[in-house]
Amino acid sequence: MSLGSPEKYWWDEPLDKDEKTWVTVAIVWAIFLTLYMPYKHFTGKQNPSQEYTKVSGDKFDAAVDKFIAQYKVGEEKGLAVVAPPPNSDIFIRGQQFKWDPILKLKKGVQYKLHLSSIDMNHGFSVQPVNFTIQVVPGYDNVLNITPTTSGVFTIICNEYCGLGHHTMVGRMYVD
Amino acid sequence: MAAEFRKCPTTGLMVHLPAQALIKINAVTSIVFLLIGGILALTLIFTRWQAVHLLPPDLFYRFLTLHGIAMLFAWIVYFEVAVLYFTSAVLLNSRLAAPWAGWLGYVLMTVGALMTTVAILAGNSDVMFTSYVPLKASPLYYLGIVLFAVGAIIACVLFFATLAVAKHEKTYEGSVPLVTYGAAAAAIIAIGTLAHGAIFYIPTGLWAAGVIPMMDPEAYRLLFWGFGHSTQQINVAAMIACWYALATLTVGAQPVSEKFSRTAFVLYALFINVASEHHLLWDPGISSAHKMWNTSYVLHLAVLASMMHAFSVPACVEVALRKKGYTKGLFEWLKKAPWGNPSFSTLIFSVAGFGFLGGITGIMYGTEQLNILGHNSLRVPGHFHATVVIGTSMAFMGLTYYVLPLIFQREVMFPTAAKLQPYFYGVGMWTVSIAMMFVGSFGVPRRHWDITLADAPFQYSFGPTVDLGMAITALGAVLALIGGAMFCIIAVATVLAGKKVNQ
Amino acid sequence: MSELKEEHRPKGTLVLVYFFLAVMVIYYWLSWKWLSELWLFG
Repeated sequence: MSLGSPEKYWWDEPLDKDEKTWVTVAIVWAIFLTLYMPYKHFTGKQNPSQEYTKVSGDKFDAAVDKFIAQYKVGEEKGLAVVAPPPNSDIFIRGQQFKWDPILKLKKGVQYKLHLSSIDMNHGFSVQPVNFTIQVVPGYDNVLNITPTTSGVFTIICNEYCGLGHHTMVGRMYVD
Repeated sequence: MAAEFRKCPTTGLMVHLPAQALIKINAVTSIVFLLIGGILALTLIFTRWQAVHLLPPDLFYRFLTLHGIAMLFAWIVYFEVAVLYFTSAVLLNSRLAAPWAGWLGYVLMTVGALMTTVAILAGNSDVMFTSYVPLKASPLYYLGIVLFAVGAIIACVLFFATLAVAKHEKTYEGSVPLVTYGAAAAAIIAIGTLAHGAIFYIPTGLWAAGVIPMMDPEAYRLLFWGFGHSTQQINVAAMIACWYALATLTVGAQPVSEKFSRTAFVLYALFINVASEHHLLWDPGISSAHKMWNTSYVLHLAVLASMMHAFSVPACVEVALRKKGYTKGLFEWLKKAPWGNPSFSTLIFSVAGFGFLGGITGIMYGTEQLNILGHNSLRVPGHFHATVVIGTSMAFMGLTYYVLPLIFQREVMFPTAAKLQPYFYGVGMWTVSIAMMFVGSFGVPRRHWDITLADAPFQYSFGPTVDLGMAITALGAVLALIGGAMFCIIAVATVLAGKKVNQ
Repeated sequence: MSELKEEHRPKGTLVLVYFFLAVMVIYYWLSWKWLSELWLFG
């Protein structure tokens, strides 16, 4: 029994035939799981950033401000609305408790998105497409991103960042 | 020496009285924290169910922080310490190597747990269980966790010292029992993990106290999860050891083969602790190669171990019941199983919930690319309420129904309530877990006070399905709370007023 | 433990674990399908 010592040294006990079958199946599944992740790096179209640099809050702040000044087309709720050209570097800054600027993107066009925070960790959660990318202060999380659906998108912060966390909501437009 | 022992009338084991005292105090303390954490859980879920929206935001985030600490650290680790003493001293007929060290560990853990609790309730440590820097808690918060971890490490060392004493004094013959073996795997994982935690919380606490500069936020995240996720692996190993114990206690099961089950524990001890980047899969600063190596538990060898236990635990139950004559068809054994024994029904809820709800979703969310679908959504708490609550906590509850007569030497009070308790708790937590993962798949964030986004500059509605899902989560939580309260009342009443066994 | 008699073999458990594996495989496949419907990242 499990609560007492086995009759003989445990390693000398033979495996049952059902155990052998199951462990073989399980090993095959484990190998498949392990290989499928790198395989998808080559064939999949949704992979995490392979490019990230350390960036101080001040530097990122300056880069975002420069980006806004360059492509600003309007304002909404006190935030700049920015329409960057295709294939350009685009920036979103997370800070307590807002995402800025508001991006106007084109569907089917690739952009180089730079995500960082100038204070806490934030969670860049875009709804209703429903994906989340982690935003960490001191790091520029760089992603080549191509919107494949159009509409009005809401950016919710889903990493607790302080008492106003639930008010940290941003916008993004794709047309 | 002999005066320090009593002979257990049921099992014939020699129970070392100082070990018994330590098991009692740790078990009782753990249940006190379970009660606290459970009450907090009720306030949290009735805040997230926006039809009620009970707490103001500051209290919500504060109680959420404390809920994590009370449950994941206090309830579970105190109980694990009790399990370690039980599986070493009691099961091996041995004396506990150094009871004074057990008490030292207990005092350190308790001082630490209280310190962290006070720091949170004081209102300057609303940092969540993860306390990601630059969020800053009171230095006491970190110091409390360090003391708690050091206390728990002492308990683990005492466990191994007791194994050594038992072997040296020849209190048992041959290999240690399987349950002790599993507990040893848990203790090996625990020592590494807790030491890791104690070490990285020190610079964090010093930063909070203004002594040294802040550590890199991504480095903190990596270090935190090396502690935060790996502590859950202690729970997995301890839980599975409990499963084997429960299978033996409830239906007299013996492992189909010791070699198979123990090899799986060896795989745990070697590989399960590697994984910590499940939480960092769409983070910057770590290469994909490293993420894949880490998150796959080294080529999914720990997953393999879990799949082995997923076979061997139900198999040993089935074989035992078939030997009792329930051999018809595929499932007569399951139909005729002792469903009225709370430990047995708990075992089934625990095994099935851990596997189907916790295990499968864990594989998905822990796959590098797939993680983007669920990161920081309610899918994550849905997953870990399946592993840690349905899995570990229920296994510990099931064991408690045997600890009460065997160690506290009292008959379990309110036997009818005890029979029903696992069904309330099990059905409730299954509902909570499934509903949370369902709602999370719509992108509903975890740790969020207001998903109606009422105070935000931009509006977005998750829709009526999500509202319904949150209501179902609350309903499940109420059922679980009733089951949890029944458990606490039965346990406490039995300890205080239960009829003495055989005396 | 000595060799099991045929009537004592854990046949029910085998069915259960293969069902478990099937659920996992299906959910895994579905997850990759959901992922492929997202925006493109890389």
